[in-house]
Amino acid sequence: MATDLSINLLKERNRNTQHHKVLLAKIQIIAGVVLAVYVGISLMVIGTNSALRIQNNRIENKIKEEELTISKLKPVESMYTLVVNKFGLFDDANEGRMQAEAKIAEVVTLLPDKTVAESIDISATSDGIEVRFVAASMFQAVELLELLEEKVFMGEYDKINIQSVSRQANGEYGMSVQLGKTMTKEGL
Amino acid sequence: MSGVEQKKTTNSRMIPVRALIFPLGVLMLILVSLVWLLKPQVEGISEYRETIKDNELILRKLEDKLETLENQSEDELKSYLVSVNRVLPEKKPVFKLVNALAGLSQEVPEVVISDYSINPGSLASSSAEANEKPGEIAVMSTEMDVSGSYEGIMTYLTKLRQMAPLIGITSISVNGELNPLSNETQSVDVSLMLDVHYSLSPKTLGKIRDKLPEYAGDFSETQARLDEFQTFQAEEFQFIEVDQQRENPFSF
Repeated sequence: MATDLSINLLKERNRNTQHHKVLLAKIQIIAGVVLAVYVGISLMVIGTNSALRIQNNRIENKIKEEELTISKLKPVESMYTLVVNKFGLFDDANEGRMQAEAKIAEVVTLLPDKTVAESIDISATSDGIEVRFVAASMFQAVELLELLEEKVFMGEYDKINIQSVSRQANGEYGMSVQLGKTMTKEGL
Repeated sequence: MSGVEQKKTTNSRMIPVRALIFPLGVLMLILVSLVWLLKPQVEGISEYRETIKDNELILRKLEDKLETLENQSEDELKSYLVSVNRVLPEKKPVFKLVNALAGLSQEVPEVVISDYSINPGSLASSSAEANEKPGEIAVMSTEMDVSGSYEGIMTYLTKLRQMAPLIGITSISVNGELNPLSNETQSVDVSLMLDVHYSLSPKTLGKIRDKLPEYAGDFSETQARLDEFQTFQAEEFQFIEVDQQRENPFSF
């Protein structure tokens, strides 16, 4: 009876020892696998970092090369910049000039119709056109106003503001008229 | 079970210290290298990615700039500059304007310049340039009275528009009848206010990495318009005598 018990205990002890060894081996293996995976990941990270550094160096070298080439073309760049700048300025100035002249020309075309004023002075402003004239009589002045209204309302301008009317010592009438344009939503 | 046997069984279940050296070593190695090696590497990767992205953008811009510059013809640019500087000079074009207007009056003999006045102010000094901003348009005003027939006046105005430097008519005063049907010999007095345009060049032309300016309009159209401008190069008008004693030496 005692012998059986001892045999059973020995068997149990052997099983425990085996199990314990397997457990230890598993821990070592897991630790080894973790180390291997970690080393792999580390190598990947270091490799990626190095690859990116090389790529960045290559781009920076390329940038330096391009900058060197561009610096050699500085005279061309200066001329190109001046040309573009001047062409732009010319376009702006020419457009402003043409707008001013078109405004004046529109009113100047009234003049050949008939002699309605002793003298007429037309100026282009940013707001519109200012027409100053001297008429021999009030009837002549009204005639010119009607002419302006008739022509102007068909054209670009739709507002006539009489700014001043004066009677001179010699009996002539002086009048200053501002022709303007109503601002549209697009214009605003 | 006796006490001795029970103790032996318990001891056999305990993990020996030497068996823990490797896993613990691995753990320590991972922890230390995470802080000292991997973390800087990972941070480096994200930094490099940002830098590469920025540098690629810079490189692309430089390549575009270089391509644009390499496609430019230096001779062509010089000719563009000559024509645009002729029409839109860098400084107040005082003498050029006097020569040009005098030359124009020779071209249209039926029109007579009765009075001409230009008040250019200071020339070639820092005070002269105080109000002029580089890269922007500046204007010099001129007044002139001309007289002639309707046809002559119209021809004169047309030619004035085609003349270099760039001149804009801002005001016209007509005394008397300006009638196309009038007698050719009938003279009309016209006073003109002219804006003469000029512009200083930009002082700085940008850094190497700066983008090249882009032309907004039609380059060839502008060039064609510039070519339409005429310059009067008559030799006899190169040496107009200027009376320095007069308040405005540029008025006739």
